[in-house]
Amino acid sequence: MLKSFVENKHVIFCDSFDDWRDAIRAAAQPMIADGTIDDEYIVKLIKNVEEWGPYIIIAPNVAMPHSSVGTGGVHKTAIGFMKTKKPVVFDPEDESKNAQLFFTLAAVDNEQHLNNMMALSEMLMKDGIIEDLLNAKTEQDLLDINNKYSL
Amino acid sequence: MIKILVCCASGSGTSMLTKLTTEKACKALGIEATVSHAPISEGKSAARNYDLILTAKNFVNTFNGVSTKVAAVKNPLSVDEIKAALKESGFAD
Repeated sequence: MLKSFVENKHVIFCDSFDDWRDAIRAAAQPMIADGTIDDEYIVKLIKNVEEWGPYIIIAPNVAMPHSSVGTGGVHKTAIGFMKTKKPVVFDPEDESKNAQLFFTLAAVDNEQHLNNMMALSEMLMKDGIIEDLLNAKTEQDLLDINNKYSL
Repeated sequence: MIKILVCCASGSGTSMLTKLTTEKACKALGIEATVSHAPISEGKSAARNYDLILTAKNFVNTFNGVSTKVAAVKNPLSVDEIKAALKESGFAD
């Protein structure tokens, strides 16, 4: 899965963001660049968190920006990866809602989306992988992690 | 066979991830279960057809007045947390 993120150029490394909205915008940029999604979807990703709170933080340090399947602004099924050097704060009163790893979901094809989600779930459940991803600085690091865990 | 419904805002991200984790937790505990997922907007009306609802903490209140058991999931990737929720809800020892 990490290998396909790199091959699809759906990877971005950033420093830090004062506003989580900017982090979500940045995380979406690689998928904007190749037409996987457009700006309309970014608006939905942000609205989803404004409306429902930071429940997209699926584990400490891990955010999964997403909106409904079939929503506007999505043209292909994919997952984009962003790593930030400093934690992005979603809830100033709850540190467990900070995130440095962003997996932005885009879905038009239900079956392909399910396969992506199964691969993402398997990957994130590997012991130690989140720590390794938090230390990743380059695309090569992602490929090395991919090999280390035989993903 | 128990029926579990996992709900999140969109029905396609967090709830799908939680569904996959719940299936692992059920298997580990030897519980026979079918696990479905849906957006919160459909969850309340569908709830009575299920034995257990799993959802994020901030959505729990949505199910006020529903007789089905509701458990909050904080970490959708944690098999252990969902195992604990199944035990607390009386579906495993």
